[in-house]
Amino acid sequence: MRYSIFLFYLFLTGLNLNAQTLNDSILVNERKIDRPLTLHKGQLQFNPAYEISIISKKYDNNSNKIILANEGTASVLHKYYFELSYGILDFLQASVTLNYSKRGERHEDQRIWLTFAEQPDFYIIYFDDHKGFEDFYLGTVIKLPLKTKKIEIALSPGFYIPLFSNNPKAPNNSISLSSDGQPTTKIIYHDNHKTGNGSQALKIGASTIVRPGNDFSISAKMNYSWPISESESITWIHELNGATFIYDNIPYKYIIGNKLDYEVNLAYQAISWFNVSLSYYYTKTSSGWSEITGFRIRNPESKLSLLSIGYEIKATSKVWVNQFIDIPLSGKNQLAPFSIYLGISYNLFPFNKKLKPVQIENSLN
Amino acid sequence: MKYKKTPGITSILIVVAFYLFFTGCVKTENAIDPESIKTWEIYDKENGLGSDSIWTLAEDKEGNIWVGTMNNGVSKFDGKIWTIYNAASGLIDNSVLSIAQDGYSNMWFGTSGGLSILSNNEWINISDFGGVFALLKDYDDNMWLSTDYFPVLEYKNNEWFQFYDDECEWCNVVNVLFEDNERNIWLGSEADLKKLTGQTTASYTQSDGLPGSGIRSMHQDTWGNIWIASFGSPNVIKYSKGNFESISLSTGLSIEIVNSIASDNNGNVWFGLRFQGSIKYNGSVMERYSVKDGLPDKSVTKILKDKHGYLWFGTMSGGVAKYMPGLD
Repeated sequence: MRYSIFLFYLFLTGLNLNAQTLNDSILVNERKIDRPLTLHKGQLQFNPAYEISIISKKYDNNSNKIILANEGTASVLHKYYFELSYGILDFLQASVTLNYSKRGERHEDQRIWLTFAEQPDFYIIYFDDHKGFEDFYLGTVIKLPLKTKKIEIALSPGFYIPLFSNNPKAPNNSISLSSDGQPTTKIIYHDNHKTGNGSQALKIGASTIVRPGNDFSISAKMNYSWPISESESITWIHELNGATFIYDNIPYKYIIGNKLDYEVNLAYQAISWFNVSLSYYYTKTSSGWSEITGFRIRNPESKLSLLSIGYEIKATSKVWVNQFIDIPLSGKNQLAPFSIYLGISYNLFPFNKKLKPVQIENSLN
Repeated sequence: MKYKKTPGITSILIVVAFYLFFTGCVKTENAIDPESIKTWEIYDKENGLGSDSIWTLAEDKEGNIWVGTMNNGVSKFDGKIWTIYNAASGLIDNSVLSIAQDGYSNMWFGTSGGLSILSNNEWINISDFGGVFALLKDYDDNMWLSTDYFPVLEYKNNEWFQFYDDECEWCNVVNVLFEDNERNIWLGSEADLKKLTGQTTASYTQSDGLPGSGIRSMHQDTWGNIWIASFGSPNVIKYSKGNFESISLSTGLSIEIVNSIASDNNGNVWFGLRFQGSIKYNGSVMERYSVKDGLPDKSVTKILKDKHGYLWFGTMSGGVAKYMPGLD
């Protein structure tokens, strides 16, 4: 997937080799902290990115930090971002986002004694695969018409559409039955999950940027999303036919939680093409329920706060490269990922008139 | 940069957003606290149950839980209050072995002293059968009884029909009456297992794969398998597609007595054991639940899944436990 992003970047570079337009000049001298909250009219922006997260900790229901490495259950998350934005007007932007992620998670092994034997009767390994596209996002950003460049305010309504089914695939369990020489039955429960919420949801957001000085900016954004309907998925059950697992599924309903997140960012434009930033990010999910064995069980509240440090390099007027690291600070009922994010932003004005080379006549002649 | 006037567009969007928010929010009340998963509620004499010694459990159409006790009649639980019905209030005997509700919402109680029927708060007592061990209401609302004096009785269209095996005396000691999803009636006796399909009767014995003698309980799981527990075997039997498969309960005992079998909503099969609590089977692994896990007694006499999905465990001397199973 990383190679795909790179190839995509090369494709875009090639696409626009000779597409110098009138509005390209806007981007040439525009520093990061000067960028408005919405794209310029006619500006098209591709934002592919890759993020790797090392999940070696999690926060439990009492917000205690659990070191997963001690249990041998640390995991790695790979996430690929694809965002396409377009400036419809100077104050109105439309965006679509579709992210893909995958993660393999091993849980703590379980040993079950039914008898008083030295060896356990059952030795169980749990392995969960999480893989797939997240829900598709379609959103807009509307900038309020304030008559100053020092401060900008924008609203960002949007909605999530589950383009792909989030029904998990059948498990790939395996078993090694006990025998005379091997008293323990060994089982690997291998579940296959999808990563999308599988739920239609609405989002409303607001963002602002303040530029108190020439090289500083303080920005903040807040989003709130909520589901608009119940969703349905399946859970898998199994039975053994000899030493072969056979599977069946049971449908269940659920409602995803309401999600609130906000971010405060402090940016410093060190030089015209280099910007560093420090962010604090907080997210909280509450409400919603999921049917478990027939009961509607309320989703446990979850929280996570992160500190993010990063930079952006303006490689060319059209290509910006940004990189961040996210450090978890606190949380509740959440994994605590340490993440490294690498993104490329590619900008062009594909529908504007191109500049034509003009022969300057020698007026002296 | 100059902004063109855009009268009202922001206001409209804000109004639309608020409208969507207030109309689109999905109600999430009535969801249960996740902390209550896998918790046990114990009911015994101290909080209103008639006795701590339980023979059987049943649920009626209204969701009341009926608990047949060994020495103080039957107790009804409506979710809040226990009501006790015993010999003093009209029941024929205080030792209640079996409970069923007929098609007219009358409650039938099989006791050591005979049959009691509670109809519109009136008791009808029949002592002619002797003790009534098992009761069953079939799909057609006919009532089936296994009794002391008449091995198996069917009450159909206001008439009684008797089933008797002339060739096998112990086959007439019927412990279990069971109807499967295909409406076959099964009679589990001390010596065989009979399947009644219309006018046809099939009989299965140890030579057909039954590992032990003396059927104690039967149950059909989510997959359609029929589970059979017999006395004197450490194994249970899974009957599927005409085959009997013996499955070890893995307790390490040479003899295990399974008093009752039930399924939860997640497809797990639960076995109530005479001396070792309960075992949950998820299709591949047996897992024991004992007193240290929350059961009030090591001897489980009956397991019942109610219409909500709670599992009720009747015990020999610890009353009743209500359990909400989790996903694992």
